[in-house]
Amino acid sequence: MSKVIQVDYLARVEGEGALRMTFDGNRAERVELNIFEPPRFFEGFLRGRSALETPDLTARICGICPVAYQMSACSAVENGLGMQLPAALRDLRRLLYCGEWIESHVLHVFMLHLPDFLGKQSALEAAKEHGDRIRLGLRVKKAGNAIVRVLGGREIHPINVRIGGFYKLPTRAELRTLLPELEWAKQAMLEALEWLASLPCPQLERDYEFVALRGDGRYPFCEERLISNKGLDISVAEYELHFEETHVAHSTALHSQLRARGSYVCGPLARFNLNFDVLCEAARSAAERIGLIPPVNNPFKGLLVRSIEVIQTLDEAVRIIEHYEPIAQAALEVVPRAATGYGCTEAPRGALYHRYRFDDEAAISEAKIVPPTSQNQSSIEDDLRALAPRLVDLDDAGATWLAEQAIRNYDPCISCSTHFLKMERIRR
Amino acid sequence: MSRTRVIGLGQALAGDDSVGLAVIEELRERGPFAEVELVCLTDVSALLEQLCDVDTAWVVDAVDLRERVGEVVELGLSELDARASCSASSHGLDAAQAIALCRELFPTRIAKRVRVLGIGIDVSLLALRAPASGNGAAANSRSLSPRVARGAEHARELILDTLVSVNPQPQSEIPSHA
Repeated sequence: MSKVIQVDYLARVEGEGALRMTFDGNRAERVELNIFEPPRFFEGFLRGRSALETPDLTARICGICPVAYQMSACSAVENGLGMQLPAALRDLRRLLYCGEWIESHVLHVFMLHLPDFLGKQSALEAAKEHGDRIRLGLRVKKAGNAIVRVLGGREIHPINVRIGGFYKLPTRAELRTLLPELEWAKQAMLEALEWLASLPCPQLERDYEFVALRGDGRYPFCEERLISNKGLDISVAEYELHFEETHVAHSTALHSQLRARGSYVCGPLARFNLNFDVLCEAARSAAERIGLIPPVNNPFKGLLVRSIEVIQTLDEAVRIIEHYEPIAQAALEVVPRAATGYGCTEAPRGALYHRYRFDDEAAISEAKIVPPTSQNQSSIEDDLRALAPRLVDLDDAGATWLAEQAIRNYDPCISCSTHFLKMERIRR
Repeated sequence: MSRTRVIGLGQALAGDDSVGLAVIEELRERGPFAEVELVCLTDVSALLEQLCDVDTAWVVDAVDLRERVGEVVELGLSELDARASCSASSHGLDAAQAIALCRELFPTRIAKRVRVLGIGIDVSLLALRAPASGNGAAANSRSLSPRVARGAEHARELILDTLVSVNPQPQSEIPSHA
């Protein structure tokens, strides 16, 4: 018997996409995650622009994770210019990233992914029975927004980041006003985690290769080495020697693969599995209390891992603010020179790689940007193949729902990857 | 507290999808207005907060009206509810869902009047354009297609008529901090 699953528009993901699965018996013959958002050509129009503009220009790729684009752009250009930021500025960049992770993860956990675990079609349906939980999520998200507003100048598309540092540093008083809500949010998330862990969670385990940044004893944001659970250990500058992007006919987004071993996973599960030892005490002990201990190979556990990462970032944000002492210089002086710069930072959804080649006046001649959703697409399709025996036995509505939930495990950002879901299921 | 908040939704570099932001940009050029707050949003989830604690909230966004590009339509409560209950939204959260969610979660805080203006665009023709110079909202109006730009002007005039009727004093008498 043949069967086709087709979802014309994926719900509760960021961007435009579709899914088509063709079955031969209980085996998935073809799985096509079709990203049909138009290509955006950012790498093309960056040519000729100044490398110093990259934090502002690339931030426009995404309304959900602009800070990630700013951080990767800054890392790459500063790498090319040989700039080493002082610890105080690096800490402020981590704090800004904490704000974005909180915003992005909480939006996904409480508004986009939670309804799946409650058997609800939408956040609106979930809110009718669990309004207190959704309100809690919105309040935590607001704490993240506040960090981005104070440090980034505004909540969406922050404007205070520049190559070499920031345009303006916050005062201690400005940052300390954030503390009460951040401390409330951490406690609220610790309690919410216990409830989230009690919800039914689908089973799916595969032998993944997890790829994440690994840093200097802290949970990864802006680091210099990429590692995996299968032996990868490279500098960011070596990225393109080990990863390649390929075009597939069914998608406007490129698929990224490890040259040696094919599909891999970046993002929360990868970071958690590879950096569990450097989680803060509060996040690590909370994970242990709910039995979430590496290796976590079930992508549906992403809901819980993101919540752990929210606790981690709330804890780190509090610590950075408590120890913050403003320094005299908001940014290092930029001295342009011809160079190629490499940068990779951990966006909420995973590693975000940037490379720029620019001349001695900082004019860009070549740009390459690899967003996390491009990197996870192959693995999403592999997850759907692994789910095929269950999908084929479900009715169309149930199969569509489970397939979409599996895709939402990755919190795909299609706007970023167009470089997302209709689902079509074909039985043969 | 502002009595009125006008909220434009969209992506600045997404061609006609940025029309909601362009309307706010044009209103800013005509303002400031007393007790009116003009807000640009790219993250729809932020709409929940922005709909609260004002008397009237306007939401201006692009809608896919392929045969009626540039047309300005005001969406009523029943139409919004129909859109919000549709689970086929391809975006994380759309404006109709955000408004319905706000009514559910914050029934005492949501604006007494929520007016939603949709400006027709053809999603299949969306093109992303690099800004002519710099970045941000200033480039919006220049990146709209002619019919959508006219729709933005029409939406702006519709909102202005209401604002003027609420705040009849001439602009020169309006304090600059408003």
